[in-house]
Amino acid sequence: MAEAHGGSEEPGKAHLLDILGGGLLAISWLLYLAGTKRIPATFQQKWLFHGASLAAILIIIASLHGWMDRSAAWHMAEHMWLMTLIVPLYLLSRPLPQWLAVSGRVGRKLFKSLFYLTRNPIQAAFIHAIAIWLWHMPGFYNSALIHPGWHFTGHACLVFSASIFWWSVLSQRNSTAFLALLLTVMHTGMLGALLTFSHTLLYLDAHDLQDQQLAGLIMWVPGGLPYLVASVWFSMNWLKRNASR
Amino acid sequence: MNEKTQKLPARLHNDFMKVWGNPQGWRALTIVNHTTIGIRFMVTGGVFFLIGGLLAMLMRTQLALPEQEIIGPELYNQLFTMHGTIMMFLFAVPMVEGLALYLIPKMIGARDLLFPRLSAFGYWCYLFGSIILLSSLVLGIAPSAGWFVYTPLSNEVYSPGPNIDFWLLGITFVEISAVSAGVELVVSILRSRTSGMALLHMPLFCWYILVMAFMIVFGFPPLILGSILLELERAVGMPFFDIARGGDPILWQHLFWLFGHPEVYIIFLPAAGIVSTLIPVFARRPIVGYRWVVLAAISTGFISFGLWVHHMFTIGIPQLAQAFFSVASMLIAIPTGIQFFAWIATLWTGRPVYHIPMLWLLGFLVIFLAGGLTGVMLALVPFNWQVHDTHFVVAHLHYVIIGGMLFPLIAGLYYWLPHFSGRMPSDKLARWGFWLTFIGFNMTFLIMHLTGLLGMPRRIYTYEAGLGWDLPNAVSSVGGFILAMGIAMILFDIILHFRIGRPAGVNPWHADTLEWATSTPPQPYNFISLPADPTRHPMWTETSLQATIAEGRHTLSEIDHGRRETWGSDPVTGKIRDIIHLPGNSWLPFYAALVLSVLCISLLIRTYEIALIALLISLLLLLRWSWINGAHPGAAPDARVKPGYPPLHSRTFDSPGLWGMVVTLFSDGALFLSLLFGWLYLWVIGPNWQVPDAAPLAWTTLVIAGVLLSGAAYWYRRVLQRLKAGDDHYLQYQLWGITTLGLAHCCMLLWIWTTAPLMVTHTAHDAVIAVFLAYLLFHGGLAVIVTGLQAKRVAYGYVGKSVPYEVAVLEPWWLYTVGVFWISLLVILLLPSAWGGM
Repeated sequence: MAEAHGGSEEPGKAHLLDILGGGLLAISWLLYLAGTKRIPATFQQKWLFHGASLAAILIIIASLHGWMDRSAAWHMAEHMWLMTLIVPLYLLSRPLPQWLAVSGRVGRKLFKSLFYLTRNPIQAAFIHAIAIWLWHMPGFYNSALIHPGWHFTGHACLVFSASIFWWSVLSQRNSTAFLALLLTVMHTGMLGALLTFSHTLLYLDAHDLQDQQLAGLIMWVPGGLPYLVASVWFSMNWLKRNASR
Repeated sequence: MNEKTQKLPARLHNDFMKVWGNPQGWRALTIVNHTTIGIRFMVTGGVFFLIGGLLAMLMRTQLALPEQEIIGPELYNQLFTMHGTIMMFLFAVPMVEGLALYLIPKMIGARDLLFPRLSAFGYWCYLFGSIILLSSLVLGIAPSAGWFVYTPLSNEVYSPGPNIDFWLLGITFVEISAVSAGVELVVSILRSRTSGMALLHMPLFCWYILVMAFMIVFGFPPLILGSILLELERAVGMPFFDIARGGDPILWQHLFWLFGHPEVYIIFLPAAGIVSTLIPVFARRPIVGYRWVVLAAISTGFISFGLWVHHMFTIGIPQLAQAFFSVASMLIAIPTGIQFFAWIATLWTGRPVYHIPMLWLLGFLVIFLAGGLTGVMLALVPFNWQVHDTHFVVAHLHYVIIGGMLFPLIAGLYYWLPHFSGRMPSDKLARWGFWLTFIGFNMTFLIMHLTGLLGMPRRIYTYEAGLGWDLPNAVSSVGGFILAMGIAMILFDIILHFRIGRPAGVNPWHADTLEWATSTPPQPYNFISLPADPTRHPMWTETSLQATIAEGRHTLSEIDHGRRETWGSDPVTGKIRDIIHLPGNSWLPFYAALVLSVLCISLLIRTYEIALIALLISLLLLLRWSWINGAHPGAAPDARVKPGYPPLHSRTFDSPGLWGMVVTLFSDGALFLSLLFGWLYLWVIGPNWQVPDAAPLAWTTLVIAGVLLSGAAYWYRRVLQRLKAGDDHYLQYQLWGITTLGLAHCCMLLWIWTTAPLMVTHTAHDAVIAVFLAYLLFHGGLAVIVTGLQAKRVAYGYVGKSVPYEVAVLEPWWLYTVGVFWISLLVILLLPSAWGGM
């Protein structure tokens, strides 16, 4: 069953995902560093960015050790780590000015079209929901385990939709954003519950039922916490803002 | 001069009573005023509380001594089921809702709730549903499967006879009333606060009720769905909870506790709201940490939706899940702790005076703390297993619910008694009542923890002597009777005070909130003029408020137009946006609820022809109800307002109706999400899930039906956009066109359904698909009917460029219908292939 991340294939192909991911990470980091030369970022923003990048490195290290290959729980932890920690941290560091400073017109156009998707938090939550549910369907999940290309696409979808979601939610911080968080915590909880209570092995990389249950619980409980924290944080901000008025 | 100001309030009062006054005699059934409806809810809830208490007394009598035969096992089962059901569904929720319906408009400086006829309808649904449920007790066929009616015990095989049907239909009826009150409270709190009352100037009670109302909106639909599914299984044989045919009884438990856990907080939060209102008044200082308390209330609501699994530790869920939820359960202690410390700090730094309500609050602090601590014990899995289904759990839940809900509620009743009646209760009787209740309660339930630890299971009608349970049971029974005496004493005090209580005067407790600026007892219009409220403590900063309001010195005191009016304000800042005109008394809510109860009874005795007729009549009544609106002569045909005032809401696009529609769709969405969960749950977890070889529905026709629906919705959106731009050309014909398109969609859907080879009684798979189709057809059909009515209303001139708001109200319904259609299509048609990898 340990075919995850293409364990049975030749090592070069197996680590395609790590190499690609690492490459992307390095590029974005370098771009950001170059950008801070032109447009300085605050201390807090810088460290949020570096923190997020370090958290991303952890995933690559874990992946190189093959932890994700052997367990659905590790794999799910990786997904949640990406979607609910790294992405929001990156977005909180507001790296756009720095990236735009070095990416020129193409980058500007790209980001402009992205803005369009983030206008409504509920719409963004739907996009995110579709990506999450699609890539956790056993059919898609398992084919991603077999083909590193699909695997990379899957992760890209998750990260991309998470970026849209968090971007929308973090930039609006209003009652609609609050509802989007509620919706997301509800449906990820549903998915987690299904995985937790399943009596059959759904995922090829789950070495036993307990492993799969742990995967579900990671999505359900600790995976739900960031949404809860964000909603409490928004409410607090909102209360502060309105009290000082 | 002096004479003039003396006369003026009396004349204003008379003028207002011509518009707002309540009729007498039979026509009292038409009253929609929130004060009357709120009191009706509370009195009815109080009666059910006494009935539920009586059942408890019977059980305690039976258990007082071992091996008694006063009550047989079958009756005992009915007693504990009905005791729990009555206390939870017919007392606790309606009671706090009634209090909220009564208080909220007064606290936010409004004249009524925004959908007065809906509140009347909710009350009648509640009353008729409860009577239907209770009649089963009189007939000796009451539900007997426990208040959470677990399957398979509650299915047709193990509970033949109509007992469970009474529960399912009666409770669903009552819950519709609860959800409608929830929607109404949310919209009223957000949209009808008086001028300048920003959200953060609201009394804390309003915050708590806002959170509670949202929780009702999201929390009740899972149980409504569960009840519908179980009733379908019992009546038609669709096997949702039957393992052999692909269902799963555990699904019922999930749906029940998805509702059941939030339910605990739905009844606790208003009680905590009472505590947060009373403590500052009696400590004579503002609450410590207002914002923290608000935050705690919101996060309690959020967290409570994630914890339902800890009610199911012993049903064989994975051990890992138990560990996770054991830890997660501790999370709720954080917001509860914040509130506790805020209350203690307020008392500590204030100059408390110990009137009767304070006594009950102190009782609450002690008992609820103890109940919370046993709750922490129960969250620990090994201990939970040990005491599961014993009297320890019974003791715990009574500590939480009586301590956390009943004690604050009685504190609140004593606090607002002068408001209800204009008179003060007797101090002496009230103290007797408190101490008898407090001692009796602890005597009954403190010892019951021990009974449980000694191993006595709950829900057994008798026990052998000599097992060590004799003495604690005897003590509990004696305590139970002392508790009953305490309740009787309180009742006596309350009834007596209407006659001999001394007059309360203005604001007897020196409270800070606006409800004390009405006259006591309040008049149906609440306030002659609506004061601006830029502070959190209007009655402390402006002590003469009651007099100036009655003299008409504030805003909106014109009444010669004959409309019932209140301010419509911005949800956050409280700035005035429009004038909301409210509908007056009507027979329609009463008749509609009456016909619905006929529907309910005919479903119970399974005479489906009468059920169908009742359904059609109730639909007609509800449509007639919606017809009297906008520029209809019965609503507000003349929209003239005093110069300088904002327009009537029906002349804008952003009406309370739109808000009501959106909040209702939240509730509907929660129901749909529960249905999706049920479908996926059975798909993944159902032990005998059977998928037919050929897809039961043809995707081409479904897609065409979906395209028709999407086209209709898109067209509707365009029409609304044009209308917003001031263009109403061919409005009527376009609406007819949309209706036709929608009708084509419905016919196609119906055709797909009738021609599909669905065997709904053979497999849960087909049964759930049928429910999906029914759900879609209901939404499409309703969209068609109401859009057709809109076209008709345009022809009559009730809707148009100058009265556009109804067109905007229906738009979210169209969009929602399209959304659920495509989502259903995805999960019905694409899920099988996406799942293929397993």
